Amino acid sequence: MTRADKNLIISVFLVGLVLYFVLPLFTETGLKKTQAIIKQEGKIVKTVPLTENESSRFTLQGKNGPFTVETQGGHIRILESTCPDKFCVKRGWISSPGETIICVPYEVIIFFDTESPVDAITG
Amino acid sequence: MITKKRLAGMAFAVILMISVIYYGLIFDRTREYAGEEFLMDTLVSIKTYGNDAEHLKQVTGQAFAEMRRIEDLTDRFAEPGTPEYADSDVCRINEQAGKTPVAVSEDVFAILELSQKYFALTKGAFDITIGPVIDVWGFGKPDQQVPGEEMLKNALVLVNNNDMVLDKQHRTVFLKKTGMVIDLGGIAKGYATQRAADILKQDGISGALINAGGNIRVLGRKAKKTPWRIGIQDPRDSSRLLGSVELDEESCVTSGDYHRYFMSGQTRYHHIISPYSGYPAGENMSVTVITKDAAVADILSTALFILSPQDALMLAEELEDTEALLVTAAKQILHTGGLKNKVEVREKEAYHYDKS
Repeated sequence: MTRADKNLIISVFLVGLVLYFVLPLFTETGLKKTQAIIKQEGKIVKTVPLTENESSRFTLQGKNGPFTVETQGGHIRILESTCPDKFCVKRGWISSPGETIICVPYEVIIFFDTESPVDAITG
Repeated sequence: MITKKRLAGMAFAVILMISVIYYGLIFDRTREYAGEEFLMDTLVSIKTYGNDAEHLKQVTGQAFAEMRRIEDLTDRFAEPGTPEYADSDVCRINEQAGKTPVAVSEDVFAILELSQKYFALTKGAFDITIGPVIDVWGFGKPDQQVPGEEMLKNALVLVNNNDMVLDKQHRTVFLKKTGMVIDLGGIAKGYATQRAADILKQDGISGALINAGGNIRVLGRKAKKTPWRIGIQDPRDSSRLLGSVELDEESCVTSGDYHRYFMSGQTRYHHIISPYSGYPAGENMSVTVITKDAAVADILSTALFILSPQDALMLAEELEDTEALLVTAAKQILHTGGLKNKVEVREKEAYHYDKS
């Protein structure tokens, strides 16, 4: 084995080592998408792209009645709901991964598809 | 000199190496199964980890079924005359208050025993006989209101866990006074969460996270083998995390004044009612408790929330394997000594926090 061979083996090893640590970073996080997902009775009913300068307002059908969703400046909220307790409306705007809006009576969940820094939130 | 043959060999080695790395990255992954169901007045999500996807789906379904069973047994608001009413031990116990002892399921009996134990341990801060007071406030019903003094006083005289008589031999429960009402809102979710965890553990899955609306229990490890990290919500800004804590075979439950409340004039009235005064407890904004058993974590988060911050911390320090983090009404973040190296407090601007 010549010196060049040894160098080559070492470089291959180093490249492999670097790839081993760097590749997972890309496969885990991927490209950062800002999308809110709206689930109703277990099914995804709408995906909303959230951008800084776009806003929207739309009404969806919950389990027992309609509710209205508003998006603005990368935030999303339930503006109005005909549900009995209105906890979902009181929840207000959400904008970070891991945050959710939940409406129990209408079985609605709104969340982001980006990976959260924590496994769950207590509160 | 590098010959063509050698170069080919090297290229082969490189390809082999990359393949091995990719194989490790892609195929060494544990499977994850995630399920969600609306249960016990909240969203319950269960994530399980293991090698067999079909098995994960099946045991997760069993865990949900167990939680649904506990929900049915403890549902206090079923309509009389319906099958749900007949299935609910709690409805039957309340109906027979002042009349006769009621035979109950093993689970409800276990819940009541645990409640009685912690009633004594918390000097009455945790009291499931709070039902009549909850009812005059209207929590759990469509409309809430601030009750009149007289009404509240009459409800409060019915609140005393010592008037709940348990007969272990016959597995019966008797509420001594007519009008007494037990409410398991401060324990049922935690108990159901723990039962789900027990079932998943028995079935030998490698990791799981059960989250019943912030009542959390973890088991084993997730796919990446890193510890579970749980965010604690800022009680005054729902878009921020106060900090985070690592869990290991533990449960974590938070009681806060910001979830269920109503406004009357300028005042906010929340749903965690002190059995001492009959009014919403006002000395803390949120209390997070970490301990092994999810039912105990649920009980203690409610009890410590009702106590003064000093008494709450003292009690948490006394109890074995129990840690607590409090955000007081005076915007102070306090925690037990055991959390010193386990909790990371991020939100330092809006609160006073002295890490020492």
